[in-house]
This record gives sequence, C-alpha cells and structure tokens, in this order.
Amino acid sequence: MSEQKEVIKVEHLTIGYGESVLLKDISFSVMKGEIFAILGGSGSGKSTIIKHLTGLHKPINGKIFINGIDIVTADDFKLATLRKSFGILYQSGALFSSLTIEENIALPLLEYTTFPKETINSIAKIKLNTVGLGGYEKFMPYELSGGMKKRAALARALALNPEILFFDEPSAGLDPINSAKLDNLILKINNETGVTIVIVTHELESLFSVADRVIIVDKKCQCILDEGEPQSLKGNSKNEWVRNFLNRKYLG
Amino acid sequence: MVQENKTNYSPNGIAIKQESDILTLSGFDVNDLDEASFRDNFNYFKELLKAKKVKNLIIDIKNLGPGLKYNLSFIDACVSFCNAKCVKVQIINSSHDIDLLLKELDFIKTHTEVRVRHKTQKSPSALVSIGEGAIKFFNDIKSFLGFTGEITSAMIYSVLHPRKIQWKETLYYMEKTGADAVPIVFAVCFLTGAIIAYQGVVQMGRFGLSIFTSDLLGLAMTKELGALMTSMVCIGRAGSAFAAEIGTMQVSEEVDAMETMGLTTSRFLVVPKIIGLACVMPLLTIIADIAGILGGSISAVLKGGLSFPEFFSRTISAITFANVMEGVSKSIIFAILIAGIGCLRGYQADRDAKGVGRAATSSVVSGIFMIVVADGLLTLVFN
Repeated sequence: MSEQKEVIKVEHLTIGYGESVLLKDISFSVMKGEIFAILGGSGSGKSTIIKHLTGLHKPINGKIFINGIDIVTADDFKLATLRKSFGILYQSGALFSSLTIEENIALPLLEYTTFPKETINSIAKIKLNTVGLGGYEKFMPYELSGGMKKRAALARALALNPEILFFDEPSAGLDPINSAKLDNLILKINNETGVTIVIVTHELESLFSVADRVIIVDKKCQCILDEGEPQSLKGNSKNEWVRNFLNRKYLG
Repeated sequence: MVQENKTNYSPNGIAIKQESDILTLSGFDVNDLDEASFRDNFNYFKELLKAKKVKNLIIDIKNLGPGLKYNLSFIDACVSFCNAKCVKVQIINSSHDIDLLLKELDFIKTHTEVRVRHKTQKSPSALVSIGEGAIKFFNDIKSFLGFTGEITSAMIYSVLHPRKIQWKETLYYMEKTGADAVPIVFAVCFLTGAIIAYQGVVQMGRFGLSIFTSDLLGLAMTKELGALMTSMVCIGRAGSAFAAEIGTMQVSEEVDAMETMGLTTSRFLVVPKIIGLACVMPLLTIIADIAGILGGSISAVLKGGLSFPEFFSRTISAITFANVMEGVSKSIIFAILIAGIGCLRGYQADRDAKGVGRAATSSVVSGIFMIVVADGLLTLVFN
C-alpha cells in the first residue's frame, strides 16, 4: 500500500447483544485499498463487527471512525450519506426477492442518481457482466443458484462504485470451485477499482488467497488474538492457538 | 429397608456401583469402550437409573486420558440422561488437563448450567414478573411510537415526492389485498347481512315492525359492519401476510441489506403496503355494504314476508350518503392501522422460522384489538 490512509479506525470497541458481551475493547484500523480479513470461529462475533462497522448496531462502548466520521454518534442523515459509499454482500446474498436481478441492481441507482432509465439499465448490465452473470437481467432471485445469487448481490453492491466493500462470509455454502471463483472476483475488483475490502470469513483457503491483512478474534478471550499478514502469522504468530488454527492443526 | 450395595464390572472395566440413592461410575482409565460395549454399558446404566430410585450420580474420572474418546462420550451421554431425569451429577478426581478438555467441549459448562436452571427456574417472584411485564409493555409502546413517527415521515416524504413511491409494488399489493379479497369479503358480508336481517325480522316481527329491518340492516352495514367485517378479512389476509413477508426479509438479511445501502426501509417496505391497502379497503367496504344488504334482503323476503322492491326502496330511503361515507372513511383509517401493525410486527420478528410465525399471529391479535378500539373511538367521533 503506497498511501497509508486509514479508512476505518476502530478504537476500544466493545460489542455484544444486550448484556452478553461478545468482544471487549478491540482496536484495529483498515487502510485504503487493502483487503482486510476478520477471522474467527463460529459465534466469535465476526459478523457482528460488520454490523457495527455499517452502523446497523450501536456498540456497547468505543468508537468507530469511517473516513474520519464517528459513526457511533453520527445522526441518521450523516449515516445515510456515508452508507452510499458502502457496498455489502451478505451471507445469503439478501437480494430483494420481489424484484428481478436487474431491478435489484437498479434500485440504489434509481435512489441516488438522476440517470435516465436507459443509463441505469446499461450500468446494471455492465455490473452483471463484471461478475459473470450477463444475460440474467430478467431472472428472479429464486431462479438463481446460491453462487449466482452471491455474484448478483455483489453486482448490486458494486452499483454505486463503493469506497468500501463488506463481505460477510462470501464463501459460506459454496463448493470449492465456486468459492475460488468468488475469491478471484474479489481480487479482480480490488485490483481494478482499488476499493477497500473488509471480509469476514472462517475459510482459510480464501483467507490466504485474498487477504492482505487479518485480525483473528476469539470467543473465549473476547479479544483480538493476533493481527498481521496471513502467511507470516501462519509461521510466526506469537499465539500458539493462532498458529494451529492457520495450519489446520487440532489440539487433541 | 435393606441397603442395596452392589458393584457391577462391565467387560471393559467400567465399574457401576450403587449405594442407596447414589450411583458411582468409575474405572474409565483402563481402556476405551468400543461401539458394542458402549451400547451395552449405556443400556445397563439406563435400566439402573429407571429401576432404582437414584438421586445422585458420581462420576470418578481418575486418570481419564483425552484419547479415550468413547469413554468421554459415554460420560457425556450419562450426564445428559441424568439431566433429563433431574439426577444430580458430580464429577470427581478430575485432572487439570481433563478439566481443560471438558471445558473445551463445553461439557461441564452446559451441564452444570442445565442443572442450575432446573433449580432456579422454579418461580420468579410475582413482583419480578409484574416488573418485567411492565417494562416489556413500555418498550412495546416506545417502539410503536417510534415506528409511527418513522412511517409518518416516510409517508410525508412520499406525498411530496410521488415519483419515489414504488408504484409497481403498490399495484401488486392492491391486487393481492384488494382484487383477490373480493370473493371472501362478499361471502362473509352476504352471510352477515342475512343473519342480522333474520334476527331483525324475527324480533321486530313480533311487534309487526318487520319492515324496519331494512333500516336497521342498511344503517348497520354502511355505518359499522361493512368496514368492520372487511377489516377482519383484511387483518387475516393482508396484515398477517405483511408481517410474515417483512419477518422473512429480516431472516434473509434483506432488511439489513437495504439499510446498509442507505435506503429507508419504511419507504420501500411499508409505504407501498399502506397506500395499497388504504386504496382498496374503501372499495372493499362498499362491496361489503352491497353484499350485506343483498344478503339481508333474502332473509327479509323469505322469513319476513316482505317483497324485494319494498325492502330495497325502504333501505335506500333510510341510508344517506353521509352514512356510507362514515363507513368508508373508517375503513381508510382501519387500512392504515392494519398495514402499519402488520409491518411493525414483521420488523419486530425474531430471526428464525418460529419468530416469523409469532409475528404473523401477533399481527392478527393486535390488529383485531386495535381495530375494535379504533372503531369505538371513531363511532364516538362521528356521532
């Protein structure tokens, strides 16, 4: 990364649901243009971190800055403006089931731009081609397979040329080939557009193939176990558990 | 009483020993169970537990190594079985390594938690229940008010920017909640009218006033029952469908996706439903009025000895335009309530299949309640 600009900065964040705390006092930052991964076992609160970064949940404690704006205290209007620069891909794709694929992609464009309908349609077409789904414009979400749904949702996330892309377990429920395809797509998008990507995962393969940097969160210590480049952590993490996790070793 | 004191050694060296109401398992250190001996031992254990009045189980895991996996799962199975039967379990002679392993497997934690819950879940004091209920009630009101405000602002925005309304969706809901509901609304109100007219003819006929049935029926249908019966049908058809739809969208994270895209969900999900239902319910109410009067006329003619022309001319002269409008304007308010409550319950749904079911149920229950209350208030206002 040539320019080390912090896009996301998290300070002493404590998150959880109600009274049960998931992660305590965590801090990290995401640089512009990098692919940043959040790794952890099931139930460790990785997806919850994304919900906080996108302002869907309010943290118990701590601060989250995105492009210098504190989203914890930001009002709805500021948050909505900021969110226009987000793209997000959920585990299930979360396409709007009552709209066709094309309309799904067109929805944010119709909302935030004043492009005529033809332009919007062609943007939708281009985005669908980017993710390899050209020709599926008129399909309904339920007519697509799981992998295609995710790619269509990615096309929707890309519609407004976001600055930050969030991925919530992109490879969940995909076979190895489709998940590798999605990884390549993530790399391609990052190369072509320089978008900052935050990716939540527990898949080691996709972690090693896409992530520039990773934090590993854990349920038991409710903290970040280690932080760094995945390959170097695999060999020299201070934390034994992290080394074993990254090397797929089970402590019998 | 003769004290029972018996030790049974299974082939694999697990000792099952019973002293009055205490059962002790030990000898897990020798070697691992295999599939067959696991089954035999477990069956024997279950029989003992069923036949004898065992109240305590002590598991001695001295020298139990982490490699003895079948032994571990045997212990797990025994502990689960005891928890189900409310037998107290105690694990003794555990080493540090094993403790760690058991914790890793969530073994001790869950099982002790289960046991604690058996004890404490008995009965929270009445004061606590009342307090919790009150907090829940106020939270409910708070979220209701917040939601009302959000919808109002979304509606105002939509009125000021009509091009931003999802017309396609609105038309879809008009068709689903309006056109598709005509047969059931007609049938329900036809029968309601027939029943009321029948009662009117029988009761008033005793005083020779059966002709006034037409006044009763015409006024009752147009002012009250047309709107009320239509609301009941729409709560069942539309309100629950709205709750289930938004609830399912919560489960599939579609609502989250909309919010992170910066789209106001109330404008996309709630406004089309409210506008759709508020447009079709007045029309349904008029259909209901007509159906009720038609149904009533059949009763009046067959039972009361009136003629059709007599009945209809009397009804028409009894109803004024204002009466019809009273029912129709009520129905618009009911429509907003029904759609709003359906959507609110959908938003509040827990994110699983049961949550969606509960949301649909609760939308119907609170919908009926709200409609009846609103009807009472509106009747006071109109008269």
